[in-house]
Amino acid sequence: MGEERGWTKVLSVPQQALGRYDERGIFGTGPLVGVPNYGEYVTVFYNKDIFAANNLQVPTSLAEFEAVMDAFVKKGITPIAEAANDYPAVHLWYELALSKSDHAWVENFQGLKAPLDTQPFLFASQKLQEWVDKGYVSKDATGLTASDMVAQFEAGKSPIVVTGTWYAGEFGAKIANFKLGNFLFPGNSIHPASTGNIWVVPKSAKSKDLAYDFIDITLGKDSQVSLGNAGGVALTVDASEISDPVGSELTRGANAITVANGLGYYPDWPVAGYYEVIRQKVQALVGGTITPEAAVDELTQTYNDAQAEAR
Amino acid sequence: MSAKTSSKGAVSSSGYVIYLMPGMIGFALIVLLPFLMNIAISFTQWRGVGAPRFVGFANYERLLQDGLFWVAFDHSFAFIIAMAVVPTALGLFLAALLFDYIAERFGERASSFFRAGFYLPQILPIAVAGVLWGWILSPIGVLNAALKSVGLDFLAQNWLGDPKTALFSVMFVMVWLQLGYSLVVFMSGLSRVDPSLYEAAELDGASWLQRFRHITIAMLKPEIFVVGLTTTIAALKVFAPVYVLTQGGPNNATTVPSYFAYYHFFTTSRVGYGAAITTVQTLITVVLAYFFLRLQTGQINEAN
Repeated sequence: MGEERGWTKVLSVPQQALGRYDERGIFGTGPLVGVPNYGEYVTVFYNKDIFAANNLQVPTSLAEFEAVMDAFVKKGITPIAEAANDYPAVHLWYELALSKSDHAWVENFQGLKAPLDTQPFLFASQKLQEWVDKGYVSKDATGLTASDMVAQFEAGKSPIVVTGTWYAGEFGAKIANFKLGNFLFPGNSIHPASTGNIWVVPKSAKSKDLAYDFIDITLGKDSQVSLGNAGGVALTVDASEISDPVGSELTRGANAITVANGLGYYPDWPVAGYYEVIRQKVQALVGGTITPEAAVDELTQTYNDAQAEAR
Repeated sequence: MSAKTSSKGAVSSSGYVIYLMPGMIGFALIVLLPFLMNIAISFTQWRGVGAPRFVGFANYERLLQDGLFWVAFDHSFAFIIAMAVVPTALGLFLAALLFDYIAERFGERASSFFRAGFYLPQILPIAVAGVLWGWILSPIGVLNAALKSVGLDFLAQNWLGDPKTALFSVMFVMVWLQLGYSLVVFMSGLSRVDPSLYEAAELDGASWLQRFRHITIAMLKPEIFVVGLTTTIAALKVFAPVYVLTQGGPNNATTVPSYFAYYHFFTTSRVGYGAAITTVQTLITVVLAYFFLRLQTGQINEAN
């Protein structure tokens, strides 16, 4: 049906990956069983006013990013609003891990293929702890949740927040006292990203054609443009068609990620229950109660256990 | 004659059976059957879908070597202190205080007001209470703001995010949660105690503390045992407050056996392993409850 309706043409190959499943139930290849209509990824939102007041430019490499944060720390500002008692710190950690990985690593990691190359995890764990020591991220984050983090960014207490595009709508609606901007995590070609939930037409559906028409509508230009204008990430239209600056920037970012084949997905996908383990370890890394080596050991242990059981 | 009495007895006790049926059916469906199924599942490897595979004692062997289970089990003792020991001791003291000091001095209404106040956490849905305490104990929360505003900045902590304070913070919330239950039981127990005992002791020149020790505690022994037993069992299977406040974190500093079982049952989908954890947990609870009841009967016999 995907070809008949032209969905496989409108959506690029990486955009179809999460709609395809092989006979083992692993995504990426196999027949198209579902169709996404929006994207999502972890990005860097920033407070343009505070950046301008401190004469800082948008960084384009990890080193530049660190230099920007050093400048904020010198002024007594904690640059990144973070929450380590929740998922956001996991995303920052994975973003750092992906800075040291390539597409093959992502495929092996997500495909539960042995042996796990732990270098990216070790780098991320060391870097995250270094960032806490340097004051880029507050230790208090270990007691904060995503909504606390968002509140701190919205209140202008921290100029940067590294989080998902799903917050763009809320930021657009709530932030009135400063100009919001966003840029892709500097230096990375791969990001925590996926195409969002997929539309699936059940086998026993009574009016399949209506459902197919509906999917056509969600992928159509009008729907995609209004999705982008509401702060969402459009898949099938060009960023220039979206008038909302943040939505346009986000859609441009999504295009850049798909063109570079840079969908890193999320770090908890390969192993059931992995999210909980990663969250706990990242929280401990931020709190300084575990060494990067010990954290990586425990993460590897869980990964290897899952792999042994899957065989 | 004796045959006649016994047959009469049989008739009358079989007459009761019909009234016991609803309870027994409910018990069988909701407690006994799942309990037996749980034991059966604990000997299998099962993902929750598909067919369970029999693995013998593999889950139990794994459990004995799983450091995290024993960490969780250690925390159970902290929860016994926070949910059974402290609330029982404090509840006893506060019940006596409300009963023969506040009620005498300020009237029944004042004592009822405080009793209701202490009981309120028991009525609040646990999810609501957990969210409220999360706000209070957050690093940018009410407690730290209050401490800073009176110049006690050095006392401000990352209460739930720092492994050093997280367990104590959760324990404190548990005391707050449990106190009302023991207090209400003890106050109703006190109303049963003959006031003439207190009057006689007072005439003999016994101090408040002496009366508390020799009359209040002695007369409330049955209540103390009931409260002690029920709260100890509640502590051994505590789940909801941990789930809402810390999800076992940071870095497993507040994890408990029930949460650990939940984690394997639902998030790692190691259903067989989760069942094994629960079975061991039940066993430990039953053994502890048995000793507690033995102790209680011993004490009561001694008192008689």
